[in-house]
Formats: sequence, structure tokens, C-alpha cells
Amino acid sequence: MGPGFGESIVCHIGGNEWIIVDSCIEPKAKRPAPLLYLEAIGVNPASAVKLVLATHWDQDHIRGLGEVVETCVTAEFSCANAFLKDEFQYYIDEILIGNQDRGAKDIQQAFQSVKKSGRIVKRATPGRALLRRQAANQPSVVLWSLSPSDKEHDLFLQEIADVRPSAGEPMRQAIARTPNLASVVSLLVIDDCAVLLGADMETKTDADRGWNAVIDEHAKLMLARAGLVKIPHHGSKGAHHDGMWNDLLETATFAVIAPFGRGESKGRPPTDDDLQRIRALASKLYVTARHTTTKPPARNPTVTRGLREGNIQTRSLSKSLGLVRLRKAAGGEWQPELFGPAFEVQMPQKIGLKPQ
Amino acid sequence: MNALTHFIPLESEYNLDDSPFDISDPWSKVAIDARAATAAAATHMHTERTDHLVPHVYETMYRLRQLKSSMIGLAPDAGVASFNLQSDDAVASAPPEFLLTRTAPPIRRPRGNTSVVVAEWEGYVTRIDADFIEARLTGLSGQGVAGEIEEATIPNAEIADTDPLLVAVGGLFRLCVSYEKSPTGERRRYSTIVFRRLPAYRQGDLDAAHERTRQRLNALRVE
Repeated sequence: MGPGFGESIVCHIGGNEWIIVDSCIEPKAKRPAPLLYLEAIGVNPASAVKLVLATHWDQDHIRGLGEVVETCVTAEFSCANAFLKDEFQYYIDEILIGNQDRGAKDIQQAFQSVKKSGRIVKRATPGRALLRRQAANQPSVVLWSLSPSDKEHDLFLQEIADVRPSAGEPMRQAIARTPNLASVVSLLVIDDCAVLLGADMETKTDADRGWNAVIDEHAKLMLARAGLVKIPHHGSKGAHHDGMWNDLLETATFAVIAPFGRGESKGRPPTDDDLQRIRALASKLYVTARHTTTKPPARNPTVTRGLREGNIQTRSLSKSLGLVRLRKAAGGEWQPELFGPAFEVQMPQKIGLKPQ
Repeated sequence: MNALTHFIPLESEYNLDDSPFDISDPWSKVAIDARAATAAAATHMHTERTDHLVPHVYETMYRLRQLKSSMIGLAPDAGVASFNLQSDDAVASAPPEFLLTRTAPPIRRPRGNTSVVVAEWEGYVTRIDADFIEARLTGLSGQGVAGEIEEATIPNAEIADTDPLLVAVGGLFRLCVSYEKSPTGERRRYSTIVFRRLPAYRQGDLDAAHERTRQRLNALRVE
């Protein structure tokens, strides 16, 4: 689901057991969207969720994560190994957090909740099974972590260490400069069905980084190809890798994109070109919402004119949350359902500013 | 010399540099502080009537007397000087309760412009460009503003010349849209961006953060 204020993925792995990947806030209810969804379909997150995975430290992927981890009391928590290092934990410590930004507070809350409850934190390292279930009368399930590579892990920590505050500097907000460095790409395998969750992994020329490293890991483990993919990094060109389509995905693949919700509308991924490119490769393509310039609520005209006279442009980040739900029976095909502003991309398709 | 006898009459001009006291003498400093407090009260109240200053002076004198007696071992009522005030003798020996029964008259301020904040955000810098900064805003007050989260692009020209250390990625600021109303009723609209000069990190705080980090990691069950 997305964009709302970010994106989140909820996976049913059979037997009323669930996995939550990332978290975002439903703008109207102002609560974590994955919890709202599960509650809406009559699932108790406290007992049903078995794993919560935070793919990377980008505010739009971890908003509400603290509440998710706290609520899902029987779930293990998994994150990139870099999050469990001194450098990162120190960086998100209280002294570096501003009063109003929840991102770092959310992840800190998640760790505190896990610590308090004594639950296990699983390091997401390449080639690791974050969750494995082999039970009678239940589909076999494995959630594989395929990244971040050792090199990206080191680069992420180096970047964090470089912006470490020194005594005498004024306090400031902790910012993730290149959060996608520590992105966890995962492959969920349920019996003979596989789903590739691309997080925000981008393409790099370095063989030890980005999708190059992910593809290598996939080959080493001789894993299945996926028939459904959550397109990485909002469908941006910088996250495109032919190897992902050729080596990790089946010929006929369903694809889902959660658009990027920040910045100016123009140029925000996925662009029309991105949609056409991806649509040509996937058998079906769904997007959780269209790009729209959300107007802020009605304001005192003095405010609007005051900002305009100061040449200050503001863009609301509260966007409608769309949901793409795909269900598949054993041996069957993926059956899509679209909710809210989610839509299917037909060829050719212009996403534009106005709904079609 | 009894420092209290040199307390400058309230009607006259006050100048700390003219003080006859040795500033290094703590008792002298107390007297100077008392004078400073009383002169500040006089200035603040914009009135020539010394009666209005009396409660503040009473309090100042009472505290001065207490401090003096504790410093030189005198009885509280000993050695009190007189002042160039109405009813000063009564003031000098007034019981503490008297201080609580008098109230100061309303302060009359000169008429001037008044400012009203119409909307306020707290923000932090996410990116710095040559001509503008990008920021994330959280609305604090104002119709359609409070509780909203927005992104903003702010031209550098709108940011006052300030410490470059403050205008950095992660730097926190307050953005306000206000209007100013003159005594004649004219209104002027304006926006202000003020970077918050937050406390500097102290080495002790950073060390404590390291220790918290170490304890937090040690307490986690990591596989």
C-alpha cells in the first residue's frame, strides 16, 4: 500500500500468519497503515504477525514502525545489520533527534519495544533466511534476505560516522543522507510461489553493490524466480536493472509500484517513461496511487499570501493511501484487487496530474 | 561604610559606572544588584511617581536586609538606612507581610505596532542548494496548518544572515507568517524564518549517548 506518507507491504503466508515489511501512516487515521489493514480484515496483529522487516532507514518506510513492533508482540524484528551497529544506534540516539520528526524516533521506539519484550532481532544479511516455516498442513515458507552487501553496509556506516556531531556543534535533526544504501531486498518463497520485494534498491556500476550484488546472491542460493515484484525505488530509472527482470523474475510477472510521495510532482518517480518501460516488461502493472499535487487544507488567506510573498513554496505530504491486493491460491494465478486511488497501468498510460 | 546609605535616589539617573562600590566586594555587589533591579523596575514602569515603585523597592530592600544580616551577623532590623522615598522610614522596618499586600498598578506601555502570528511551522533542512533550501515542515498553529506535514522550498534570500552552522542539513527553524498592525490600523503582512540556536552538544552528552548506545545494544537479543 502507498504512498500516503510512505509505503508498506503486508504478506499472508498461510495459516493466518503474516509478515509486515516497512510501515507508513494512513493520513486520515494517522495510524500505521499495516495495522489498520489487518484490523480491518479481522486479523489480530498481536498474535498473527510473525515478522516485521524494516528494509531501510528512510522516513517514508518506517513511519509508525515503532507502533507496529510494539503491537505485534509475537513478531520478531528484522533490519539491516548496519542498524545494529554502534554508529547507527548512536546516531539515532535522543540527542540527535528533533522534536517533531518521527522517523528516527520510530526506529528507536521499535528497538526499545523489542528490548523490553525480549524478542529477537534478526540481522538481515545477504543469503539469510529471516523466517522459515516447515509445518504439516501448512505451506512451506522462507523469507530470504538478499542485501545489503558488505560493501554497502560499510559505506552506510561510514556515511553515518562522517556526520557524527562533535562537541560544540549546535544540535540538529538526524537525517538519512543516502538511506537506500542499506536497503534490504527480500524474496518470499511460499511453496512454489515467489515474491520479490525490491525495497529501494538502486543500480550501481560496482559489482559488489546494488542489483548486481543482489543478482549474485540469488544465483548463489539458486532461488526460485518470482512471479510478483514490488518494483524497487518507486519505479525510478536509477533502480532499473535488466538482470532483475532476466534473472530474478518469471517471464510473466505481476508488478506493483508505490509512487514517490515527496518533492515536486514533475519528475517524481514513476514518470510516464518509467511506467511505459516497466509495463513493457511486466504482464500486469499496478500503481497504488497517481501523482497529484495535494492541496493543503483551507487556510487563512494571510498565510497563503504571506508564503507567496516570501517565495516560499509548500507541498502537502498527506496523500491518499491506495492499496493493491494480490491473492493467489495454490497452483492458481494472481488475482488483483484495487482500493482507493490504486489503478492498473494499461499500455500506453500517462499518469499525469489528473486521473484518467 | 554602610552600603545602603549610598543607594541612589530613584528619581535620579542611574549609572552603574558611577557606583562608589568596590565591585569585588560581595556586599557591594549585592547593593549594586539591588540598585540595578530597582532602576530596571523604574524604567519598566514608565512613571515618575515613586509610589508605584514602592513594592519592588520594598522587596529589594527586604531581601537586601536579609542578606546583609546573614553576611555580617546583624539582627535583621539593625543598620537600615533611609531612602529618598516617601514613607521611607515605614519601608525600612516594614514586616514581610506588607510586601505581599501591595500590588503594582498596571504597566502603561507606549502605543506601538502589535504583531499577530497567523501560522507557525517548525521545520528542519533536508537539502541545501545554491539558491534555496528544502525543508520538512510540521504545522504548529494556524487554520489549515496545525498538524499538517509539508515540504517546502525556501529561497536563500528569505533567510536572514545567520550563523552558517545553523543553516545546515538537519538544522531546525521556525517559520511564521504574521501581520503587524500599527496604532493607526494599517496592516503589514510578513514571514519570518528563525533558525533555532539549540544548545551545543557537550562532550558529556555525547559520551552519555555512547553509553546508552552500548547498553541498548547489549540488551538486545540479536541473531
